[in-house]
Amino acid sequence: MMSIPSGAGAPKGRSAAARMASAFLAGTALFVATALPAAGQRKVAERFAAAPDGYIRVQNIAGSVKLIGWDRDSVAVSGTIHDTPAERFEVQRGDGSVKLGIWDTTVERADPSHMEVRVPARSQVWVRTGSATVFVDGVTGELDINSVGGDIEVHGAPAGLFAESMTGGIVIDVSSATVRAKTVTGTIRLHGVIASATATSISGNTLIEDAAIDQGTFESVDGELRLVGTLRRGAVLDFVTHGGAVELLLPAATDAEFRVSTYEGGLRSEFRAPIRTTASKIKGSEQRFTLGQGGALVNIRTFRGRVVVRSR
Amino acid sequence: MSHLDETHINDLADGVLREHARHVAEAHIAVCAECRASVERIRRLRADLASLPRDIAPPEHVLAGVRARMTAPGEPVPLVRTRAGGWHVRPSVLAAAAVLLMMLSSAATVSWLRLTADPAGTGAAQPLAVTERGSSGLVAVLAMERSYEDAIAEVQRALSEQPSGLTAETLRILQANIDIIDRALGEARAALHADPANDALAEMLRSGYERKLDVLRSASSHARARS
Repeated sequence: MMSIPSGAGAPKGRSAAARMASAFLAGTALFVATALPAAGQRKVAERFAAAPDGYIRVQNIAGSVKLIGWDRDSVAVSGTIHDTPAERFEVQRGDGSVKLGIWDTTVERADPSHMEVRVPARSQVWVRTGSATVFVDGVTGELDINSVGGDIEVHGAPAGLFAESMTGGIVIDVSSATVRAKTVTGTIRLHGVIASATATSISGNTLIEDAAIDQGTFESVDGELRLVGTLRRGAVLDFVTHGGAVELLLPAATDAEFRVSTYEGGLRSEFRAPIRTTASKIKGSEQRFTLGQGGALVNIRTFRGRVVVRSR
Repeated sequence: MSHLDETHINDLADGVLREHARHVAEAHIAVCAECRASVERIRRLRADLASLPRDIAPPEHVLAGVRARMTAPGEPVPLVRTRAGGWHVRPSVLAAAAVLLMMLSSAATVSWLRLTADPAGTGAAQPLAVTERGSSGLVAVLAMERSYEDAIAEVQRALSEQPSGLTAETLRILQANIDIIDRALGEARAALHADPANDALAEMLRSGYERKLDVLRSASSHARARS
């Protein structure tokens, strides 16, 4: 039997009943503290009817937004909210549109509010946050997500997706016609099946992994661009970076034509296909090579970034 | 003492001079009353223009008169026969035509730039085709730079006129990344001036400008959202 050393926590001379009472009170206090919102917080739980393909706007300054598309014609919002001194969490309903959340132009930072919002799957959803993270799953309408510094993660099959976070990271694993992802410093990760994908950053890295993309443009100034996976037949992918490296990790049996243009960067290919080089008059070069039957087209341009094409 | 040229005076008034050039210009106007007055005059003009309403609806009776004249049968075109038998256009019509021409020209330029930057209209940045060789290629690149610089200056002006609403940490990160872009632009520009027919370098320059404009527009949109 486990024993508590005397003097370790229980005052000497107190009865067992008193110690049990103290423990009970302490446990109750802990339960209350964790179960109830902290001072300044409040719980919200609302549900109301909404158009199946309406327009929904969600705003949150700090904390998190979890957005779930469901097969019901209603919106349900729940969570723990921190109102600011000037603004309160609000739900506004219009004709076919819903606006909810908290936004305050007078504060630079706010205490975190965590909200889970369930929306009709076909809704068009617009989300804006300061530092709050955004997680989306199951929405099949258009998604427009914009954050200053929050991470963004999107799953499902939205009709179209625009995701931008200045300093947060973006993870996209969707089946969609169009995807646009933008960061300044955050890392972009793209997966899924996408007809037209664009990812741009300044110093953030971009990783395209196990993604089936028909047309893609991936641009960065200093960030690395990395593709791991297969190239779809007929795909056209453009990689443009000034100083970041471009790395492609492809299966041995790849059918693609590569056009690589670098000024000071170099090209290293682990494939044995012959490389044709066209040097510029001054400096820099364009190199071309074809793997297999050349079904896809990959254009790569860098100023200083090295280009590596490796076999998986 | 040589005076600041017109471009520097305007750029200083607009706040778009680069740091070194701005310091030089400010040092000059500190001792040159003539140039200082020119800068102040332009700044006042800008302020006056900014305070003007964006739209001025003409009085209804004026509009009614215009409509009546436009629809009246046999209304002569506003051309005046000169005594010498030639034609001249009334100055007011000429001015209107000039404005229209400028608008059409600007619209065409914008359309061309947009079309060049995004031929499919997808919103995705596409390679700008600098197909000209040698000096004509350089002229095309300079025109591209000028149009981007104008757009960037416009966004920067808008940003400076409203509180960003972004935290100091975010602003620091944005500035550090703008610096990264500026360094990249400087490298690409220097390389392109040495090798003006290099399409890939022109593309690097375009991409850098596009990224810079993108960052500033994002910061501006957040500023608008919070101001």
